[in-house]
Amino acid sequence: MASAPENEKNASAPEKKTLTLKSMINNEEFVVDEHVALQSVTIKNMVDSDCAGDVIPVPTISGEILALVIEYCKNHANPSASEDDLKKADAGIVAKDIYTLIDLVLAANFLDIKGLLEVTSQKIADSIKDLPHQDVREIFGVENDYTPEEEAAVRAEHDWAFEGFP
Amino acid sequence: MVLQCLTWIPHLWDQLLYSVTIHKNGFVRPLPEEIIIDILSRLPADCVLECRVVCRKWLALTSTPYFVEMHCKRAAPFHFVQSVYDSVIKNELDLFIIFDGVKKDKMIERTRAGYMHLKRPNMPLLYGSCNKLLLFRPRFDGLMYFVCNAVTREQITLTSPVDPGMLCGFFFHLPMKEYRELAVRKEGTGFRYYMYSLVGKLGRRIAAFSYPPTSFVTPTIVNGALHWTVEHKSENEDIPPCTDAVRMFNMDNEDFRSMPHPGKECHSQSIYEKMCLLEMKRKLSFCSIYARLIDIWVLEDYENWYWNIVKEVDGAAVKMSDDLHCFHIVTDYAKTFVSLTKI
Repeated sequence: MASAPENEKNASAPEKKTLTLKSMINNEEFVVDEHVALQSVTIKNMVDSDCAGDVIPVPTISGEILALVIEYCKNHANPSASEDDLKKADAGIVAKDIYTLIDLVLAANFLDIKGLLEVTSQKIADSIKDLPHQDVREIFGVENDYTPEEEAAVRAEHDWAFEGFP
Repeated sequence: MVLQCLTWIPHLWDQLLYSVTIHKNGFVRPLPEEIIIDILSRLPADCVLECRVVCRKWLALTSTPYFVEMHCKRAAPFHFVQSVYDSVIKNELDLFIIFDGVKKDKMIERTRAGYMHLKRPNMPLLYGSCNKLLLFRPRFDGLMYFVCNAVTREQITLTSPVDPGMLCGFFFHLPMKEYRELAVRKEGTGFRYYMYSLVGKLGRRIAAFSYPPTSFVTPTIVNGALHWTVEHKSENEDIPPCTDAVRMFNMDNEDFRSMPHPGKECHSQSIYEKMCLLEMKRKLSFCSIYARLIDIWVLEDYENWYWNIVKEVDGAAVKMSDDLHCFHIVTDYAKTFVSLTKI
C-alpha cells in the first residue's frame, strides 16, 4: 500500500489536481485530491459543469462531519484497498453516536455518496433496532401526533401480521 | 453555465427547511423522507411495527407498497423447520427457525410451539408460508388452521369459510392489499372453490372443478398465480388425466386453468401422490418421485408451458439443494414429515 515506488509518485504528481472543501458551518477547510472528492456526485456535477472554483463551499455540514466524509472518500479512492479493508474502515467511520450518524447520513445524502449513505443508514438502523418507539421519537426529534386511542389502535392492528406485506 | 451553478439552490433550500428543531443534544435536523424510508426498511419486521407507533407520518411511510417491497428485498431470509418425528415421541412440536447470514451459533432458534394449543393427535403441521407468515394445518382433517407471524410469534386462527371444506390456498392479494384464503369443498360430483377475504370476512363461490387440489402443501405462487397438483378422488379411485394435472388460479382475474404435468403420462395414483410443485429461482418447478428417483423440472417458458428437466436425484441420497426456494419432502408420512420452506 504505502510502498509505491518513488518514481511513480513523482510521475503522477504534476497532474494531480486538488480541491478545497470548506464547511460553511465552522469555516474549516479541507484540501483533497480531485479524484477523492469526485466520489461525491454533487461535487462531480459541479466540477463537470465548471461551477467549482478553487474553494467549494459546503453548506450545513460541519468540519467534523466533513472530515469523516473525506476519510470515507479517501479509503474508497484507494484502488489497492481490499474489500475487507474497506469494510473495516467503513465500520470505523460509522462507529459514532446516533446524532453524529444522523448528521453524517444527511451529509452523504447532500453530497450524493451512495456507499456512505448505505453504510450510515444501515448503522442507524442497527442502532435503533431494539429501541422502544419513545426513544426513536426523541432521537429523530419527531412529535407524537397520535391520540392515545389511535396509538393503541396502531399497536393492536399490527400485532399479528405485518399488514401490507406483498 | 451560470444556470448550472444554481444546482446548489434546491439543496440549500432543502437544508434550510431542516433548519431548527432544537433538541437537548443540540440540533436534530429532520431527515428527508427517502432517508427515513431507507433506514426503516433495514429494520426487522417487528421493529418496523414498533416504529409505526412513532407518528402518523412514519406509519404512512411504512405502509406503501414501495416500502413493503424494499423491506422484503432487504429482509434476511430464513428457513423454518419443524420436526414432527420427534414430537410424536415427546408429544410436542419442535420448531426451528434457521437464519441465513448470521453467526453459526446463533443460526438456529428453537421455538416451542407453545402458541399452538392443539395437542396430539391434532398437532398442527407446517403447511406453507406467505411472506413471513407461517400457515399451519391440522394433522388430520379439521377446520382449524393457524397463521403465525414467524417474527412476532403472534397467531390467528383461520377457519374454512365453508363447512365441510378444506383450505387450499393462502395468499396476499396485491391490488387489494389483503390476505385471502381459498377453500374447496365437494359439491355433487365435483369440487367447488370459495374465496375468502380476511379483512372483509367475506366469502364467495367461484369456479368448480372435477378434481380437488392436493391437500398436503400450499400452492406454489409464481407469476401472479397459485399452482397445485391435483389429487384423485378418494371414493372411486378416479385418476385425473395427466393433461389436467397442474391446476392454476390467477389471483387477479380469478381464472382457473388446467395444464399437463411435465414428463411422460403416468396414469398412476401412487405417482400422483408424490408429485409436488416448487418454486425455483422464481420459476415454477415440478418434482416427481418414481420409485426412489426424484426428477426436478423447471418451467422455462411460462406462456408456452415449456418444461426442462434440471435434476435427477437418487432419493436415497437426497440433500437439500441451495437453489430450492421451497421444498417439501414427504418420505414416509407416518414417520417423517420434513417441511423446509424458505420464507
